[in-house]
Amino acid sequence: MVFDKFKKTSKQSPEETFNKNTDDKLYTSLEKNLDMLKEIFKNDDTFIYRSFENQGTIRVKFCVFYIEGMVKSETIYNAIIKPIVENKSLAGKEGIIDYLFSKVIISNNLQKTSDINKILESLLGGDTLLLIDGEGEGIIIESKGWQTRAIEEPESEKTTRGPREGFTESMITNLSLVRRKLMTQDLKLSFRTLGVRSHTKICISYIDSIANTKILQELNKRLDDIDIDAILGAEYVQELITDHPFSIFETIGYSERPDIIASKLLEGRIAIFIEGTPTILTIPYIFIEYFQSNEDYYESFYTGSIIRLLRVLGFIITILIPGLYVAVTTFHQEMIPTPLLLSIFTARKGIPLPISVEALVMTITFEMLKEAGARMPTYIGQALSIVGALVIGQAAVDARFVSAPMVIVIAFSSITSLMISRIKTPALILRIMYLIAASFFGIYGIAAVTIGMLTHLFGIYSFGVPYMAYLDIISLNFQDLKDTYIRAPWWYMKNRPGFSAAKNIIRKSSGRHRV
Amino acid sequence: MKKIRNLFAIIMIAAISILMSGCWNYRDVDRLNVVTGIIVDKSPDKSKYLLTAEVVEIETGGREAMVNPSQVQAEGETFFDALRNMVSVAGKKLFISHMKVMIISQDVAREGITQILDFIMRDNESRLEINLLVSRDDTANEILNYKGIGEKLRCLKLHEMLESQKNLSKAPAIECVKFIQAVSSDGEYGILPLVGNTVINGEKTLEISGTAIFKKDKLIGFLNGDETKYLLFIKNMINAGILPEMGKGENTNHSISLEIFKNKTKIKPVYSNGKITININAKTTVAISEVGIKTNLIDKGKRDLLKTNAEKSLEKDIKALVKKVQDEYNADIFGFGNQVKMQMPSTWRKISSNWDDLFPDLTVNVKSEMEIRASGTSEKPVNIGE
Repeated sequence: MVFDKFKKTSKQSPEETFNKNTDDKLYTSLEKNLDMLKEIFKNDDTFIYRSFENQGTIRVKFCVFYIEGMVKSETIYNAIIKPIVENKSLAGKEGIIDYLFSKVIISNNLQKTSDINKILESLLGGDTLLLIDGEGEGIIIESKGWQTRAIEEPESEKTTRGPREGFTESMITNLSLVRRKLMTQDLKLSFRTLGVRSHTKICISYIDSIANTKILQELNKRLDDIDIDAILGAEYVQELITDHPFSIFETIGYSERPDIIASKLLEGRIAIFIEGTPTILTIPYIFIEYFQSNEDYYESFYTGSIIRLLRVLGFIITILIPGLYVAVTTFHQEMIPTPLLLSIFTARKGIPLPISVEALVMTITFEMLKEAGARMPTYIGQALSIVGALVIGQAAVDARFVSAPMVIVIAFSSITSLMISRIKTPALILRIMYLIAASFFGIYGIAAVTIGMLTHLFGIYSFGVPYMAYLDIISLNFQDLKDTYIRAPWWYMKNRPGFSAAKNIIRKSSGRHRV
Repeated sequence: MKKIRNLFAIIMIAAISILMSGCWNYRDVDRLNVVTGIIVDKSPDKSKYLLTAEVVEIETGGREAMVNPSQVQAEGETFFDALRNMVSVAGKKLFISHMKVMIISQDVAREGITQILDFIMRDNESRLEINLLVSRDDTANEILNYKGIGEKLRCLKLHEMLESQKNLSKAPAIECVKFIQAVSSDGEYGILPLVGNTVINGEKTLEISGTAIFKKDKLIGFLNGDETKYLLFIKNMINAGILPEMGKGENTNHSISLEIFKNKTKIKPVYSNGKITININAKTTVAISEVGIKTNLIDKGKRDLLKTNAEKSLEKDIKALVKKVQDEYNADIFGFGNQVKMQMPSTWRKISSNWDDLFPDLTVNVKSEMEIRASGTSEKPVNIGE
């Protein structure tokens, strides 16, 4: 019974609790409008209104409304109040709105409306409402002016040779950063709003002549289905529109860098900008993109290719090494070379925990240390790393709680997992899966998890694109490998990726000067 | 309903594939009794097998842990019985996947070692690439008490010593699988390296030198280290080694050493008039590595002289060895029979049944071709003042 009740309340879709005017229109009387707005913004002390009159022979009552902190005060003073108060030539109430529009208010973005919903949205978005006594319409004057963060290099995606700018929380700034890289009218930026309470603005951006229309339609359909009260971060949208909500792999990409977003747009992908977050989503997202970094394209193609291969190797090592160590030392001792067996044997002497438990405990401990360090202020982080290194590395081995080879194995797999910070969650889950399978079934378990993982990877899609596009052996073709495990030279990559840019596949016809 | 059936099928397939898939077992590495080598002896009353295994013992003292050898000994009616009886002494089952050597005492070897070979082939843990050795001493397990230089674990030391025989060629490093191949073929008899002791500073120290000759699976005799070298020449198993040469000096017989760099021996059997002749052709690349006479051997004429002398003495030594084996043991350890079988299969079919009778009377021609390639870093011998 109790659960039924709970169910009922939770099933209600989020609704606004404003007690609005029934027909959603402004009154003609300023008094009434003022009362209505005061009622709507009851108990909200950031809602400011100020009444004034002009100085001319015909006096009209005006009132401005705005939300403190969202507006630039100088704009309201210089563009609205000052011109109206000092105006002496107001001829009469007839056509007053057009008169104000064209001759008095100094602003590049004005709108007249009588729609209460529209007015509320604008007020909450940082615009100023000007109401005139006796008029059924108000004027919305743009006066947005909140504080934003400066453009900085994103902490999580640093480069040595690439551009240093990163996105901020302001969507308009972010759009301008991308626009500056792609100065073409082909770059489309269409807005929409998500979130019943947050009214978060999002922007779908793509290059019209390259992007796949079907993917765009599918995206719009999925965005239409979103019913949530607020969008506070990119992950909200990501989880709501992903193809496989329970998969440990992400089928939607993200970045905080304009250069990455610009290059993805040029490959026919679609970017989703979200107000209030510096993380921009890109779709479709395929598996190999985990291993691609913008740095690959700013360094020579040799460097790029070697580093990319190292990342793939690092991923394989990070998921496999602890499981393999446990499998080999508990099931297949004959596989270890004798000197290595003897040194493991020596190190294991007197360790109380079985190898599999030891591996699991150490993995969890290292993840805890990593997580504790990640959210710490820098000065505590240093202390933490000393404690971690001393306690786990030194003291635990000396006290014979854990064996030294295990510390090496776990540390190695943790270090390699940091090579690709983006894939750390799938890597951790896979590592633990491998570890558990290996402690029960040895190499056989490792083979089983590998088969399961590959089956899953080859079975999932990102907006209709196979997740393992370019990586499956059956449809393997040399042209497709140019930007996967290796990064081919720019003059050699003549085509765009087929899955997202099929309608405009040729990137360039001839790449470089003849030598 | 269909869903439940599918789920059930998946569970069944998973369960069967897990439970039916061979032998697997969880055992922590520190629960193992790692055996590095096994020594097979006869018990004092000669009725039972006496097995001694060298196992790895870990000694923990404070922070450091040390690897030490330890011995486990047990008797048994059969080889495997004795091996299993060791559990009652050691407490843990022996883990023989890392066994490197197996040493067989003389009296066991003389009785035949078929069952030991069979065990090594049959057991799932033991490896076919372990080295088999025959002990020159009466009780082979004394080997574990001899002083070894370097490695504490005697059996690992023996393995290492056999590996380095490649630079010496005084004992054949024979893997178990090669020995089994030899004893199971009808055109060859098996050989194994000999392990014994040599006395250094009054202490018995391990030494590997010489060859044990097997007829079928039974030990019949020995060759010493130098004879082994010529045996390896015939079997094309020489990788390196030294050919000592007595130089004819002006006043004394000082020695000259030739270091073998490369050798390729070809055996060509010829069948004519019902008789088989074996032609051995050894092409050897050597370098002068020690000169005890005043003559400068680099000079054209002297070099040729040295070459001819060296070729002659190698031919003589090889011939002497073949003669000794033919007369004393009548065992085709050189694999001449297999060469006949490979190169003249039809002839082999006719004569294979009485190969043992033919072998002592085989005519063996030896031809040595030597190439002196270098003389180290010095041009002239050290000039000792008159």
